[in-house]
Amino acid sequence: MSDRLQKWDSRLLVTRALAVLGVLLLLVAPLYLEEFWLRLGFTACGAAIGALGLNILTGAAGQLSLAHAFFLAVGAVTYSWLAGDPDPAIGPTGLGWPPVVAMAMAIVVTAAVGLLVSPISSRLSGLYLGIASLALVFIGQHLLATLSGITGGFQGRSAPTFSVFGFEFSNQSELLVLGVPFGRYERLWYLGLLLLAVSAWAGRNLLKSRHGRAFRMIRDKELAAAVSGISVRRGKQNAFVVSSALAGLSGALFAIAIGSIAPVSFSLDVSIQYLVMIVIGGMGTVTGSILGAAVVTALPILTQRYGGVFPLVGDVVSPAAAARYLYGGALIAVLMLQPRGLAAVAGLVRRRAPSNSASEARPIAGGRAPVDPPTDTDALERKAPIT
Amino acid sequence: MIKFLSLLLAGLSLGSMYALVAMGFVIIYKASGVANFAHGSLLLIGATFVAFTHDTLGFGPAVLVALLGTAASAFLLQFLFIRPMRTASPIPTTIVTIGMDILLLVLLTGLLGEGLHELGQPWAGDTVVIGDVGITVNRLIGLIVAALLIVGFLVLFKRSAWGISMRAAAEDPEAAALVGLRLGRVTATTWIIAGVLACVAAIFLTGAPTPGLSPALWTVALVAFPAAIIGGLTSVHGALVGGLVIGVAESLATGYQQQLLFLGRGFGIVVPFVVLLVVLLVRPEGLFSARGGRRV
Amino acid sequence: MSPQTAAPLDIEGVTVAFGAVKALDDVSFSVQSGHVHGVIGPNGAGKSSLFNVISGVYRPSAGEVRLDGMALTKLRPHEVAGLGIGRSFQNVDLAGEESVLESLLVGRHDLMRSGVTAVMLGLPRARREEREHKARVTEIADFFGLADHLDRPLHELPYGQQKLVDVARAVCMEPRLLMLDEPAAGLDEAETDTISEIILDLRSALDLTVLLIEHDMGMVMKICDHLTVLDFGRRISDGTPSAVQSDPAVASAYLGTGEAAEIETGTAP
Ligand SMILES: Nc1ncnc2c1ncn2[C@@H]1O[C@H](COP(=O)(O)OP(=O)(O)OP(=O)(O)O)[C@@H](O)[C@H]1O
Ligand SMILES: [Mg+2]
Repeated sequence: MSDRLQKWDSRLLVTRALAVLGVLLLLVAPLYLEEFWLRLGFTACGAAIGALGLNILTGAAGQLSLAHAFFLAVGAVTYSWLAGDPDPAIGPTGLGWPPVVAMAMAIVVTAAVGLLVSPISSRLSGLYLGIASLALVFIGQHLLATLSGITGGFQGRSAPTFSVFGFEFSNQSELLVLGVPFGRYERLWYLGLLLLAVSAWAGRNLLKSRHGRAFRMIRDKELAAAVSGISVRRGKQNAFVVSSALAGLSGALFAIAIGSIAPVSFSLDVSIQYLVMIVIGGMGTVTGSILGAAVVTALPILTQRYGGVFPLVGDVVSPAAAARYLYGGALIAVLMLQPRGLAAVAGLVRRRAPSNSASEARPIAGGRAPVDPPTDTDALERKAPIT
Repeated sequence: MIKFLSLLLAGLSLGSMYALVAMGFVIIYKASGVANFAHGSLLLIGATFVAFTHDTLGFGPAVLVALLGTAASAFLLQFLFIRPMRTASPIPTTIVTIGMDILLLVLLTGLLGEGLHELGQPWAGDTVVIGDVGITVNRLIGLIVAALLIVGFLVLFKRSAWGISMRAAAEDPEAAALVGLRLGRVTATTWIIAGVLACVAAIFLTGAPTPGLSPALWTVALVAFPAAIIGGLTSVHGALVGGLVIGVAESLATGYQQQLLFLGRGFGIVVPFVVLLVVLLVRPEGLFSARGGRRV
Repeated sequence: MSPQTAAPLDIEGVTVAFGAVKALDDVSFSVQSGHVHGVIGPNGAGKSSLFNVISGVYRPSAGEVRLDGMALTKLRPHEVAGLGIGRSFQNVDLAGEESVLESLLVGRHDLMRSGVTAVMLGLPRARREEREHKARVTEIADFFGLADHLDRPLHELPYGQQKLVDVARAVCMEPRLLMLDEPAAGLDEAETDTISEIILDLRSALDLTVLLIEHDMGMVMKICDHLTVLDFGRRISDGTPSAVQSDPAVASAYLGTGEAAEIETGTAP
């Protein structure tokens, strides 16, 4: 027993130490990495926030959604339009709002749009929603092409650089840190990490709370959830709105990473990529969202850059196709072999503490063995609901 | 009026293709409990078989090869990927079909490359005029074949051992298993039938007025999904009606797009999805679904 | 609690049909406050359907259910639950990874108030609420002898304890009326005794009214104050256990079911 406890403790210690080390490495990375990696890192952070959103909706609450690209688009457009140059040389005008405010609004507006469609979405069960949500992607594409004053139409529009209180996330002002010039992507790296850390923390809080429990209960046993006092519609609506809000932030970050937005960036294919992220990473977990987003974001970029190392890639299959084969295959393999995803494989999902052996030895009646009838019934008083 | 009638006829023909696809989608849903997102790839497989063999074999035999090939592919997909998931819940299994679709689509787009492929339909781009209403021969034959297939299918569904077992299984899988239905075989048959229906639809959908086969055919299946949902997802008749409604709506919206310009260029393409949202808003369970209470 | 106070639960003329099958056919009875009220009957008699009507899962085609005079039949399940009706299920289906503690906390959902934003931001009041409810749930788990298992995934527990968790989840809702659907099914004799004691103790400690479906006649005869007997969806008898026991209609309903002897002797097989 104590052996096991110790072993457990030391494991926990190792995990903690590794985590601290990982965070330190991430923090000093811009001193050593070239722009290519920093850019990839920022993109992955943005994607991870979006994946977290989808994972709350699909992984935790069991509502399959293919509409995620639509919500990313709403966030990206909101940011680009609100913060955009009111008087640009070319392209559609913007409102010239401070980028921070525009980013906050991207979250708020996307959440509001999520709330707007929730009368439909929260009445549908998981699979129905999966198919019905296709509608939003296609209608979204149509709107992106049509509302060209805001979205820039087919060509899209540029997305303004981010800045906070005059500090620009661009190459404009010189900034040296320990002799290393800190340009656009060095700065964005930290922005991405910070926003991801905050989102992950909030996401974990949510999943551990009464709402997270309600989501899972709705996913696993919808009727039992309702009979236990959970409003199923309300729960689905909550999941949908939170998911949209995170997609809004993710969309804004995407616009910042690329510097422009266009309808092709928000096609059905993108929705599917996000689904792949949460499945490969691990459904219903924060860690899984991050791992999955990292893998799926990096794959096509890495096959593009290093694909030539492998036979076939380049001549027989294009790097982009190679990436699709890889993640399509991974998607199926994960679902068939390890439905809990990378997070479980990596052992990062914290195992539950081993139960103590005393209780295991008890008969089924547990602490209430018939020989020891409870006489202290008054120990369990009726209590008014805690408020 | 003539314009309206020809658009209506074109819409019915298009809708009958959607109906074939949607009915396949619905029976798979009933048999395997999944939304088959790889349905678009089934269409592509069918048309690709014809495109690659009609030069050497001639159109008729090429169609035969395609029917067999699509049926075999559908069976294999079911056998390799869906059957092993039968103890899993619907959502993971549905995501598996998305994985199948990713793989098939990248494979097929690789095979097809850029550009269009001929399927070599003997009627090519001919049109006929009935009264004053014109339609391409392709669409007309398509409508007739689809009508025959649908009637045949409905009879099969109602009368055959497959249809009866299938409906029993969809209603209560446990009870069906208890009375000894070979669920595995029923499911496999279902996928094969869905594959055949998809293949037929693909052959007519790539003919005139469509210029030929390209990976864009895949999107057509996506339009058939709303048809299935509008009909209630569990109802074969619903899928039929849903397919026709969507086909006609799309045809009319495309035909009158000058009048609909305020809704944006190319509004016809999104019409099926707008119809879907409207139906879901009014009747979330679809037009034809009788949802019974679940047992607790 | 005297049995003479107003009936908290009134069932009046409830009818539920599934196609040709009438799961419930004009069923009426009332449940007295503080009673352990048994609902018995052969398989398929309509007992679980009755529970489903009360908890708002099935909508009856005729009739009404009232809790303290308030009609329940128009409400949705979570609204019924919110009025103080807790329910356990005939079939526990607990394949999930959820721990016992989390499963029990689900029962507190409606008693907790923190909104989505509050919990995401980790606001102090949201944390405090979570802590307080965990404390209460631990108390209840302790009462059920489940305190040692709170952190274990539910599916790891033996069947008997899974059933206990399901009952405990219903109790965590702090209900006025506790509905238990065959809590002793699949349990051995010792476990059945334990759950009987738990039910009686709960009733007195929490002022509960209990509506109990059970096939185990020994248990029913021992702990119920009142019985309602259903057969083919109809109420065929209603009264004290001893009155029901000697009702010829009951004996004939059970005739040939192998449970007839149990009814007469009031013993478990
Ligand atoms: N959702 C449903 N759909 C169709 N028939 C149903 C449904 N629920 C119950 N029934 C039918 O209603 C009748 C009563 O069922 P119910 O489950 O209420 O019986 P029960 O008394 O709880 O039986 P048991 O002792 O076996 O649990 C049965 O014939 C059953 O098949
Ligand atoms: Mg029952």
